Amino acid sequence: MAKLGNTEAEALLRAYFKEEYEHERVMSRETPPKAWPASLGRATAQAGDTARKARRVELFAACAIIALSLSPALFDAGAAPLARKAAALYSHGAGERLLESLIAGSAEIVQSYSKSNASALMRAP
Amino acid sequence: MENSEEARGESWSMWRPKAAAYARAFGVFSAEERFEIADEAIARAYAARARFDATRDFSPWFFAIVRRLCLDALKKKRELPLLPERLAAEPTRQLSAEGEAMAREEKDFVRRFVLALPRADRELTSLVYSQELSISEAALVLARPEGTIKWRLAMIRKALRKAWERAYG
Repeated sequence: MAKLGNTEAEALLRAYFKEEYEHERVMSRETPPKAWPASLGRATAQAGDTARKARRVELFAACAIIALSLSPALFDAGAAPLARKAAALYSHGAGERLLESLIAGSAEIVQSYSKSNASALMRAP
Repeated sequence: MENSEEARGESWSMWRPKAAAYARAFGVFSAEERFEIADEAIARAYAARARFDATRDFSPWFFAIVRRLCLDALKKKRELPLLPERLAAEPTRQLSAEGEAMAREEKDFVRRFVLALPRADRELTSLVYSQELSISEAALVLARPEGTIKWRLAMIRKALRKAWERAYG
């Protein structure tokens, strides 16, 4: 065999690795991913976070509406931040789920919102 | 990587075997493990695409992700001794005309040589000769100075020439 120079040595290495890469390329086609890779699960988790946030917004709206329904005075005041936010949420369609939530059990919803707010709401006349 | 399903599919088919080929250089991962690493690397790159500086080359950034995953996987394996025979047991398919043309003896010689290299050198040769990364790009991936990379490559070529002379001189 001929004496090996730098160029030939590089050529040998390139040929070897090219073949290895071809091997992996064929295997890649033959072995598709079994499952969505783990880190893409994080995207799903993030979507879950978004859903939880939306749920919290709905719960907040539920609490606000309960407060309003229990306290006409608060509703009449109108300037209360709670009332303003609840009205805004309701106008953006949070009401549908809100009604379902109310049916499911308003006390539970209020408790899950926050203890302090719930107690404040429950004290409302 | 563009933000579309088609682009993602293309990226997947293009980068998956590249990542697996690089993971192969570590010498300890089975085919299944290599493709798990490759899939995870692509997923991470895709998830982090907003952080990628588009003015830079994608390859070094991507292979740095693959490398981190390989090193993590190595740790999980509790740094098992390298098992080049494991790779040797996996026959490399003869696919390309160029590959077919390469004499079997030469191929076996280079295979034995590469498998006998230390892991860091196998990584380097894979990045430069398989993934076609430049010296500076390989230096970025391996977090080593360019001078060190250049010197290591020269040493690897020299070792290959000497081994060739011993075998066929």
